[in-house]
Amino acid sequence: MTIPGLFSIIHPLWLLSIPIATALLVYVYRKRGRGTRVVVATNFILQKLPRELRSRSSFLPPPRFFFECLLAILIGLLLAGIEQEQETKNIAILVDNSYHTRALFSNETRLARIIQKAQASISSFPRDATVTLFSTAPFPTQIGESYLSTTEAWNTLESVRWVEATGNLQSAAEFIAKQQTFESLYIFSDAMPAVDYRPQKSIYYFPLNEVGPENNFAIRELAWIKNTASESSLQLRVSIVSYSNKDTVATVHLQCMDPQNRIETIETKELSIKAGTSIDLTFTAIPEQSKACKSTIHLPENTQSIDALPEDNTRWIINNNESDSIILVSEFPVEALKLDTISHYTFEHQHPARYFQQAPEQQRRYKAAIFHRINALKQPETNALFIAPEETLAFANTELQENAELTRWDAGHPIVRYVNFSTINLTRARSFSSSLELYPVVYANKGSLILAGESENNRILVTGFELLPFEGKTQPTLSILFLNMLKWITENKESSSALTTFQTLPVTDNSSLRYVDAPNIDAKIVMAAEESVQARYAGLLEHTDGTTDTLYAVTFFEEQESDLRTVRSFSPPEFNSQSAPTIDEHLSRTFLWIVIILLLLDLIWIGFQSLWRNK
Amino acid sequence: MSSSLLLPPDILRQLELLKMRARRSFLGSRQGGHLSQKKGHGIEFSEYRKYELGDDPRHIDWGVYGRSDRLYVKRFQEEQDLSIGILLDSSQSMHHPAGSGKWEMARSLAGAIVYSGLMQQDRVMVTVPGLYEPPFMSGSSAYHTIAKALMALPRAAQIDFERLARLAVSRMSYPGIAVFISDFLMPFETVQTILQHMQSLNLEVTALQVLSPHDLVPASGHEEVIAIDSETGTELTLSLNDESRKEYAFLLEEHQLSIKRYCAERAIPFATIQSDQDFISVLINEVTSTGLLQ
Repeated sequence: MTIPGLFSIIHPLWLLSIPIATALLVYVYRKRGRGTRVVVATNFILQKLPRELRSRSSFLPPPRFFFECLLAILIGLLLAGIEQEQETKNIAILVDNSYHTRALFSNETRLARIIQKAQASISSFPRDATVTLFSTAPFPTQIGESYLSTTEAWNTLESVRWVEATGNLQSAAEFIAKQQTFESLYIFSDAMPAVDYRPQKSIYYFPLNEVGPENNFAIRELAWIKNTASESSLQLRVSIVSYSNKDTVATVHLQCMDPQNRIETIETKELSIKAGTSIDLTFTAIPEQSKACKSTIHLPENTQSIDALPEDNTRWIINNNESDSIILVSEFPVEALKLDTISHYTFEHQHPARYFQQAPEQQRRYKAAIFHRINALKQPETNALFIAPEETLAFANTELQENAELTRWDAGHPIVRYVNFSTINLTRARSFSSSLELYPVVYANKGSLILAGESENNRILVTGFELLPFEGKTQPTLSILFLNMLKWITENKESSSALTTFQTLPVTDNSSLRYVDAPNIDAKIVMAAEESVQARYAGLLEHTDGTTDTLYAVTFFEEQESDLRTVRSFSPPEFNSQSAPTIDEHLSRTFLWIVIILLLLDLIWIGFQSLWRNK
Repeated sequence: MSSSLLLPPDILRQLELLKMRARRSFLGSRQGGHLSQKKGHGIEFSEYRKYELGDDPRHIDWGVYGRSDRLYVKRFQEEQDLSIGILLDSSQSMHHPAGSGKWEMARSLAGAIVYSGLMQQDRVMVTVPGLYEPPFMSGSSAYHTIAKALMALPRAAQIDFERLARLAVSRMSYPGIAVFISDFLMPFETVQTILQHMQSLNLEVTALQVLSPHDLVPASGHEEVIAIDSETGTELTLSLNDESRKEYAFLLEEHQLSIKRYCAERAIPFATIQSDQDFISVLINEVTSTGLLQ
């Protein structure tokens, strides 16, 4: 059963204009008086009338007052965007479950409060409405079955959990809005409406009004320090960051796992960290036989008001001997292209002629290769980023484009995250069409400018325009794009040292996987698809495959998730549902026409009155 | 504008039949049509007096001498001219509401008195406080001058009527007749002050009140009214229902009675004229009832 004739308001604040306008009208009419203005010879005698006889006992406005009140109400409703809702059946609900929603406030997570809001909304839906639930992280995911009943949806919401991943609320909303199977979309998040927030028809956004404490501490990075003077021990750098407005004292523990899989505390350090700063600690004398190490921050007052997110206080790292370097194959050295200014990545330079003379094994030693303004004569042996190749590649045809205009891009791809393409102006670029399984990520008016894909377990990125030298803050858009690219092409080579949550593990089944430091949480390992295993939570994973045991350090750190002070904003996308109600628009138009006609009548009325008075 | 428009010829002809009459005699400045306190040449017999040396033998009543053998001379009241001062109220209240004919009636009355006085060789002065303050005029041709001026008078702005009226009256410091034409819609004290001032100057005062139907029933046809005072511009929001209209009529009547009572006590003829009355009938009935015209 549906409830016909429901109304919704897009800009409810405008409703306040109705009582204000009505009060103003009452004031004006009282001031002006409701009576006819008559010039009399003198008020000398009229003034002597007893007050109770000459003063009005009550405000009895003329008909025009009611007419103008009606006009004010209609204009108020029009500004408030009153809409008559059509019977809504298929409703999509998007719940933000990114890591930051795990932040506690009054013993409740933000997610719990988001879910409560969503459940309250579901309770107001028509009983025959069907609901499909979605979560944002790690990617837009449907929760449960499609078209659940309101009761089922209410119950299913209870199963939504925060995940150690970043969810893009904006792109998730856009993803759902593109699906033409829903008549309306309800979005629940702790993000604030964007400055240019424009409510969209059939999209309803419910932000949390209060988000609680925003203080947090996290381990941003855990990295081996190579080339130490001591041959017998390793050194480890721990970067700790404070996203807090309070100075505090913390204890940092370092524990390592020996060859017998025993975890022992190596060293404990105390440090004081100032509000909003980061600090690097170096742990030395780590036994070289250590298979993995874990660093943990402990705060003396480990309360939610100081540290709202506990998971990012712990981080594992695997001890292996792989090279962390990225090889730059270019005519220009690393310094010339300012790649040495990028922290967390190590670059080695090699001349193109020398690089291609290397044996494939040598090439595979590197995490990735950047081919800068050169043509790859054959498919690379490692992850590769091709920047502005001069001519046709071995695996892709190119075409020169002048004054290329970016027309669209795949907003869901990691390399375009936080990139504002509208600021990019390309005078010279190349478009590609590839013979490999590379798919276009960014399109220009005459072809694809960025291709991405995987081939033979190597990630390949091809960009048709120049990204270097790395200018950092002076060219933020290109810098962010380049860093995204670096991250993406190196991710799959961090399998043993820096796997991130929800990244596919190089294993085919999850039956023999376990978290070393939390053996009882095997259920947290999810099988996302056949032959694709992903770790849902950060920790040290052990995979037993017959005779060999392999360790995987699963980590998760995203500044935007750990820094709760970050202002997250959201602007609802265009809703393309063909089955979206159209009666809403008609109602607005009808209101508009009525208002225009009434305004004209009022003007005619005023004109007629003044004419009549002059007569 | 032609002066003939002030009073049409047929009215002027009617006026020629009426005479200005003073209730008492005054010392005129020159020979005229009114009996003077001065004895001398005239038509009206006054008294006999014993002949004295130097009397004009032509004035000896020879009939009396024949019967009594004594010499008596006949004495006559001398006929002299009369000073007529007209104080015409032209304040905004006389002009509102537009089309009420109040000002036109008052102006016509002043014109009629002027014409009648001038025809009797009297000296006439029409003074409109704040607007028109000419000297005394005489001779029939002065009518056109005064009529023209009255027709061309603009509306008075906001004025201190009492002060200006007293000033205007001061210029009438000549024994004679004073006519105060107004709607008297002003505080009783103001009316009293002006009339008192006139009488203190030994003027024979007549008060003519001109009211329009709107003064009797203000804002008729409207119940909820914002009454704007034509003189001060002040606004008064009113609910004019039956009850309040009755109260208004009572208050107006009380005001009228105060003036009438005062006039009666001071032997000031007072007449109330409605602006929608026929002018001839006003002259014949109302004005003559005051004894001003006979």
